[in-house]
Amino acid sequence: MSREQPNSVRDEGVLSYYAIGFAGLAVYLLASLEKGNIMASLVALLVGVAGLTAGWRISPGLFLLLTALGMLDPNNSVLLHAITGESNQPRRLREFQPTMNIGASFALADMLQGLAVLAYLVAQYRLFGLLHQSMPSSRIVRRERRRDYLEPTKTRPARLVTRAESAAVLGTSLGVILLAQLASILLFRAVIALNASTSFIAQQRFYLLAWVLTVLLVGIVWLLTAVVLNRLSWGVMDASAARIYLLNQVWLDSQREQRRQQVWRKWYRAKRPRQEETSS
Amino acid sequence: MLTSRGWWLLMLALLITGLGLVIPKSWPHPTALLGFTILGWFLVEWFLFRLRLIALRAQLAIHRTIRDGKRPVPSCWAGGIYEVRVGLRYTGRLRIPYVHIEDLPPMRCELLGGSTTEVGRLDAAEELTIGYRIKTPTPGEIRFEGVELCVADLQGFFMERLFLRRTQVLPVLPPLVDAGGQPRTNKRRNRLLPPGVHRLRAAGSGSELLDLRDYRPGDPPKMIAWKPSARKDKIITKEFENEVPIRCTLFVDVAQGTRVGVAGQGPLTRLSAIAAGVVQAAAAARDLTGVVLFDEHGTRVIDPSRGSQHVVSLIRLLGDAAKLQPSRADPDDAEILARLAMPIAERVYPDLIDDEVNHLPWTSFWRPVLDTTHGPFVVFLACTPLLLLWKPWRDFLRASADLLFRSSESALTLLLSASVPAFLGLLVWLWVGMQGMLNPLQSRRARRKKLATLFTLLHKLPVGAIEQLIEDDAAFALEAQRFLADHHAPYPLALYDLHGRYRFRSEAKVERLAQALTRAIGKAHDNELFVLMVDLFDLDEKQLEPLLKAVRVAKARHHQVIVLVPWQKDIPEPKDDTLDPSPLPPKEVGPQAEKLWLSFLRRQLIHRYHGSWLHVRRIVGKLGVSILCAKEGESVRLILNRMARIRRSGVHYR
Repeated sequence: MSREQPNSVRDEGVLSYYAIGFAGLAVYLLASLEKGNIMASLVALLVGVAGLTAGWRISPGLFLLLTALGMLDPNNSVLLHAITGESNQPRRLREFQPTMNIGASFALADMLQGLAVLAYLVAQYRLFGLLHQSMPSSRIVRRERRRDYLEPTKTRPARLVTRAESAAVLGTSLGVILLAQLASILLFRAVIALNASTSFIAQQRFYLLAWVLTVLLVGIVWLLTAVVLNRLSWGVMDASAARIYLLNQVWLDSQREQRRQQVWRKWYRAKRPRQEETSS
Repeated sequence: MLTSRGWWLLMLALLITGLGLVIPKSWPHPTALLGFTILGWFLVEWFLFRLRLIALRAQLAIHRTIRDGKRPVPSCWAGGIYEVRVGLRYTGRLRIPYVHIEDLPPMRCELLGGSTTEVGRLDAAEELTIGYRIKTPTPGEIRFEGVELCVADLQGFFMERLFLRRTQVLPVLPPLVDAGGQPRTNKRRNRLLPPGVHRLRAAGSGSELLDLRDYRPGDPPKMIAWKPSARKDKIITKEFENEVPIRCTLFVDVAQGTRVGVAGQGPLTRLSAIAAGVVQAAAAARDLTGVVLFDEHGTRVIDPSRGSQHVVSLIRLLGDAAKLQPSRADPDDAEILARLAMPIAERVYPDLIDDEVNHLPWTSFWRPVLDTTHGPFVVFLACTPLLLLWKPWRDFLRASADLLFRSSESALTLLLSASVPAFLGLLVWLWVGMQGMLNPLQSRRARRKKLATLFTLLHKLPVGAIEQLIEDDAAFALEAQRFLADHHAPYPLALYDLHGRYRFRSEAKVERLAQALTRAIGKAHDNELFVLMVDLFDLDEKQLEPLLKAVRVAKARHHQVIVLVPWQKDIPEPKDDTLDPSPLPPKEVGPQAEKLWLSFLRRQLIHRYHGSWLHVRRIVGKLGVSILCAKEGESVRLILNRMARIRRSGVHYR
């Protein structure tokens, strides 16, 4: 029983996210034009617009994939090959040219495109939460596959959207893209520094190092954060959870001995009726 | 915690990062930057979400009030309408932008209005509140479990369900009945008088005029009869009859048999409501009422008395009795009960069945082959290479190898021949063991262990009980029933055993009732009314004999006895005193005849119930005792009429 009315697209909170989403797509288009990969970007743009207007659930994922495809294949040889069966570029062995210039790494168009993608994604996912579903349905309902019972879909009311949210979205996006750029440069500098010779870098070795360092970077950040958060969450554990944890530990320590006793008891219980039958 | 939306985005971000690191020919590439950006954003959102959860767990308080009108109440009346208000106050600094809260209303209540859910943000400035109205239909108790909080980030990547347990149990007292329709009458004569007192037509403080006499100094002036005084020219005083109240003792059966049925609609609830009605009506007429609760194990006696405190204590006692649930566990029910208990545990105790604090190591899922019926044979097969030490077996293998491969001399052939059954045995061993790690055995064992640990904690059992509850079906079923009963959740009960005997038939309670009745007769001051509210189904005359003997004694001492038999709600009453012939089973078999068979089983159950009722009525009726089905309003009226009849009875004591 909820007294909340469903949101409308005319609500102020919803409109603000529409604005962010469309602005993100517009910047994305401009950045793509600047970089020259138009075809994949246009397709991605269409998918993004459809996601914002029609609420396609697969839009953000598809948009990301198409964007990545456009970045990886700026000449659209793969896309053209998929559509027409021909490629506009002859197949040849790829040249491997790592860039050493840090200044060249800070490409404004790339950063703008990343920022636009992030703004679109944030707006799109928040619009999903406002208009369609903000939380998944209950685990119990899903597991029991109760199709006869439809749990009411939870959406975030538009009245909860504040003006500060839009500013926070932009601020976070900017911060994240700067951090990502920094991490990216740091990583590649580290890879190059770890190579013995800068004149010739073996392609396989470079890949391996890049992967190892990426995994290390992400893993260490994640691990440290998780350790800190776990420590904090253990601090707020309530008494009953702590008690059940201790009970579980005691059980784990003595499980084998206890199980042996219970198996004997089970055997005795199974045997007793037969004994009674034979004695009677 | 991670939703499917979050999983998809994470996978995509990892994929794009991976592609950005491997495919491009120039470094660093914007694809990698895009991947890092998405990953970084995801990490930031995850970190903030976890931080908010921690703050929420530490600094959230809820308070609930149940109001009747404007004032909060500590208990409810059956049939009453109450307003529930729940407030959530968060004192943390980190603002929670989006929460969905739901107060779980009690199971036995009817929701009349308002909303049990609320959506909002939590910050120190404002309090989230929920308000709704409930109706408490039946006596017993209502239990508020707490508030469920669903917290999610704004994108819907992470979601966590928390449950703030604030258990609040309120007794629901039997309804207040209107005794206005029952005229208050006075007892004129007594059949059985206390020693030394021969008539109760003595002067007292009643309302009926007994006599007129000369005024004595000290008589109250309001008693002066002015007209006779004027006629006789001397002061005459009025004397009124002594008012003798009726003593009534209600014997309420709270044994397992009366607890069976839909919660709040079972026979015990009805008996409690009837008893409460009689208590209140008798109190209004200033009669003395006592209650005896009895079951298979003992009795609880509250002697007849009067006064508002006594009435309240009786009603509380009956309210407590109404909430009792049957607990007769069958080992075969363990799995069904676990399936019923798990959703409640997942909803109300999510933090106590979480893998972080209550988990089962994966090695525990291995299914020991010796637990199966063919286990010893499999172990024997696996150990067959040891038989090579036995010469006859070696000779047999040599002969077999010679026959099959025409090379009996090779040691390898011999070893291979000996290893084939061992290999097969090991394969079966592995297969049986691995079965425990696959569903449904895996989920069944995990569920059992989590529930066993939870029950051990909630029911304050010793540590060793965890393993006992995992292995012992009967013990687990008993604890699961207790858990479900505590949370007012219905659970199935088999009424009849494999031999067709009613499982809740109890001879012990008949003994207890007979003892209690004899005691009450021994303590009786006057001709009293004894109301026996007892389930006597499926008991034969021999088993009822102690009770019949006690009733005979009561009748011999001129007491009144009424027997009220609780009636299952969904069974129709018999039309007349004759029993219909037993229904015949349908001739059709198979799934298409399922409805016919269900109908047959129902008709047979009703036939059996009616037969048992007529049998009990015949036995009890021989003693000249009224025996009736316990219907709520009519039963109260009947008992009150009988009390009035005792008052009005014109039989003199000799």
